[in-house]
Amino acid sequence: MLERIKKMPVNRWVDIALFIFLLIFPLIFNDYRTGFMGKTAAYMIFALSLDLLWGYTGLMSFGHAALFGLGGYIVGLSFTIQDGIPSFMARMGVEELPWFLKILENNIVASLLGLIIPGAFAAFLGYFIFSSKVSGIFFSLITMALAQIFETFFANQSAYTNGTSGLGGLPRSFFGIELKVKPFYYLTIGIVILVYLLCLWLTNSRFGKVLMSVREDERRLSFIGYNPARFKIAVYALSGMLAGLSGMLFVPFNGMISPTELGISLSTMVLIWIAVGGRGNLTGAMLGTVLINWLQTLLSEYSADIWPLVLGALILAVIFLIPTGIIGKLKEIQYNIAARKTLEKLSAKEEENHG
Amino acid sequence: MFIAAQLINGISASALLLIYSLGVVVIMGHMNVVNMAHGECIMLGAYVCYYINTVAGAPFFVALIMSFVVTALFGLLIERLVIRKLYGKTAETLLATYALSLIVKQLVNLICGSELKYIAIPFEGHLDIGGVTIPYYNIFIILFAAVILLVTWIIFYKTPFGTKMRAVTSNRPMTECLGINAHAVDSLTFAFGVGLAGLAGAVLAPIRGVSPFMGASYITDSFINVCVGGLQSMIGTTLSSLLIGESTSILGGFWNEVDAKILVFLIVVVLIRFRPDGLFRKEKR
Amino acid sequence: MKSRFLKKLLSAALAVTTCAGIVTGMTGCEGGSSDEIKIGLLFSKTGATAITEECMINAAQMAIDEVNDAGGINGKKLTYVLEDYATDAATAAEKIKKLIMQDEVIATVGCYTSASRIACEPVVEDNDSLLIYPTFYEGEEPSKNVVYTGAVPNQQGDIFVPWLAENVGKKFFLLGTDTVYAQLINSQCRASLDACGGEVVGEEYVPNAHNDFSSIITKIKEADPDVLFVNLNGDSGVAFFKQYKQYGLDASTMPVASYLLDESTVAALGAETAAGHYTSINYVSTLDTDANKEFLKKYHEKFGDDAEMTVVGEETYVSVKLLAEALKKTDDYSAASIIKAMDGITLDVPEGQVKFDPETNHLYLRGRIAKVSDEGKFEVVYESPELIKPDPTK
Repeated sequence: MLERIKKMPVNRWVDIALFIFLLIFPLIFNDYRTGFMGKTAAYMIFALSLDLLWGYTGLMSFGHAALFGLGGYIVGLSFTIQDGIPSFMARMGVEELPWFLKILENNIVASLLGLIIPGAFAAFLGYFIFSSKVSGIFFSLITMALAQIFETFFANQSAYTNGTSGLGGLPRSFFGIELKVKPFYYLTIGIVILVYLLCLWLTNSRFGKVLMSVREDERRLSFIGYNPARFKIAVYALSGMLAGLSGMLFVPFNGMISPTELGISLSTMVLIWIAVGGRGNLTGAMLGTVLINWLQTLLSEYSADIWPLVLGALILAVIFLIPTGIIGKLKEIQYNIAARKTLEKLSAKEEENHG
Repeated sequence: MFIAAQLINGISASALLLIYSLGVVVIMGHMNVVNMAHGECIMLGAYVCYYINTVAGAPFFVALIMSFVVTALFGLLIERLVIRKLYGKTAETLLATYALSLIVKQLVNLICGSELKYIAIPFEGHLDIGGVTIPYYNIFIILFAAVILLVTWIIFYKTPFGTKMRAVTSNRPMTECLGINAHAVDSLTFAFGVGLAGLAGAVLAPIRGVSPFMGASYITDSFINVCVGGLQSMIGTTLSSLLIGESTSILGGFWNEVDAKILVFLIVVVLIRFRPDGLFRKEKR
Repeated sequence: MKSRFLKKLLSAALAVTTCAGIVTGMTGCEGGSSDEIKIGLLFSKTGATAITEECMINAAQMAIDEVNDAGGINGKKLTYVLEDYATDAATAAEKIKKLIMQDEVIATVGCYTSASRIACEPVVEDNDSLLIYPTFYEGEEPSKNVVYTGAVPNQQGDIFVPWLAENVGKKFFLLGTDTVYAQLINSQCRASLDACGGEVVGEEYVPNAHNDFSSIITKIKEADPDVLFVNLNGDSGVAFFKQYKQYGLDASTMPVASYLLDESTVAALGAETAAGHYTSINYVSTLDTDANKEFLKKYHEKFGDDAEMTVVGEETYVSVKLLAEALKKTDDYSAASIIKAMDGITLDVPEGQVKFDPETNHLYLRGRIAKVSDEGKFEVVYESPELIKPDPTK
């Protein structure tokens, strides 16, 4: 047992440290910071969902926020219509809730749909894309176009989405029960840990290994009798559901959702979080999300002007200095130390033998 | 008459789309680099045009040429510093060029200020043909698109440099064996592509004004356009510019701009899905 | 070797971030000292509307300086914390939370876009704080935690549309950026046009940052209206005006009427392109009063001769002045008592006299209609005889 713990890869230690940090966070900081970290925790699930897709399977989606925002809008709309027709809809001349909003009145149905709709949409999109030869950069560009379409569409449907102003004044509600910041925070952290464990189990399973071989060499995979498309669709659907889940957790902390949460800029940001943390090991996605968001909020309080420059420089530094991200680098270091130790042991043995 | 007017509007919209997509054909099509800073290259060109035309008072054509030269030099610089080390790594280039776009945008914002800069339209007035109005500047844009398309085509297919460049694209090791300096070819190709983006910025500037954030509106459109046209194909991109420009104009004319934009994007996504090989030829670098 | 250096670098960076975070997080626990009063300013320094909001930031700082030069609030100094919401509603909600919970400001002056105001309202309501919103807007059911110092449609459109119908023409074409603001403004325009016997011959919306108007202009020519009622955001507006001219449309036969046409747009357009178009607003920088001249002189001394003063800048200035007056009248800095203290306040500001309306939390303002002259200056062509009572729910 002890031996197993000792051999645990460095990123699992980082995971544990990160979760401890998140758990004690509300004890050190006030409600404002806790609310902020709660939002970041929701982003962590979002980053995990994209890490499955990009880090493990090699599908670089440039429009993942569309799925995140879809989940967010579903719960957001559900919250908005709890007390009948909201004022913005009334002003736009909506007199009766249409059927697609009526079904959202029930909290449980809305929460389920917030998972299912992004998942189903991703599955459909995956089926649509992966059944053709579209791959690589084309996948990125199609998803980018979709994020743009979603952003424009949600901004355009003002009668139901309140246009670019978005849905505001959303409560911190869990299945209809309003919670204070701290309980909701711990609830979210609990869900983050569950999602993390799910991803961990998944990536260590046979399914995860197949995903990684999709990334490494898709053709070889099909030679040995697997259908890569099927796995890609499955992982995309799962990733979509998790993205929807993160959107649903994000909205109560954020208190609002607007079309920018569906668009290209958030889609790009999540790629950056993962790249900085290191992709394809779950930890990097979570660590990168926390680090960059924390840095962003502190720096923008200090000076709004320098943040884009710092972020740009940080991305370039990571790409050139540690292309595998922070966690990738740490793993490399751990591997090197272990290798050196083994070598030392071997040479010591050899000396013994000679001596 | 209404349809005729919208068709002609469609042609000038297509010409604009082609002008700001040509740089992408060169960089994404021939070098396999997705330049997320494309919009910022356009913006830089527009700023050069502003400083030379409005501030220094030089003629518009001088400003055009200078914006090509200055942005091409900028392209040369970032190719040497950043892009060169990342060839073949799609994800890394995407993120690195995105980082560049953040930095360039913010630097321009801090140095030049965020207020919209004014450039006078160089050809005032318009032509009236049987009730259809065509501004002179739109005619200029259409002609200009034709000229730079032709020039780019000649450079690519009729000059020794173009031959070298296409050789590097299709078979790099072999080209290097023949004693061609592939690095130099890369630098020049990239600089040329960025220069084209700068030129596009200079042409766009008079009709919309110049601001640090102007680049964002062009990036998705130009990428998607080049995808539909076939990454490397100038003719393909010309045709797809016409297709996208015309359909947006016509749909926008009879329907509304927002739905037209959404619909055209959806059509384009379906097109890419069904013609990934047919319309495009993709060669491994 | 290299990897060890990097490791050090990274761990140092991490440590610095965390420490900085803890320190910043902790400092929030202390309140401001007793001899100063802290307010928040929430404007975009980056993002699409940063251009417009720069003037608001300047005006707010100038007003705060003036308050302090005149002895502060009953001897206490007025200080501020400025946050950037980057033209993003979610960021606005986040930043105002920060101002209230972390910096413990007693009130916030800020927001330009309607989206950012809507995002901030629930936050100030939840925390029982106060937001002073200095922008003309589409009107809404007033929040009890918000004071609105900008004009609402009954102080703009209700005089503007009938005036245009009478003096320019009765056929209107409505065009706007696809936002809630433009849609509501246009539906209000439609209603007042109906009342005075005019008609709408076309209504169009374009996506955000749209800048090719050729097909819309063709539609406009087809519809042949007398007035173009255009409310396009930022860059789009400038692109539209330039292309309007390109297509041979003429301000003398088909002028543009826009609430978003202000001094900075005119500067970006050039006098030649902007001449002949109309706006309706409670303040333009060319107002010929001593108070306004004095105000502009100070402003230009402080921020340079090129800095344009616009209506939102002036309204921000008014907002700070109104807040300062109210703070002088109360020791309890809760939102309700500050608003209560505003009751009965009349201010002499650059635009003339304004009066607080306790029923709606808005201001009584003078309605004005201005036309851009050939020199690119706003000329007031109509002024309402009385201050107009705000009616934000109309």
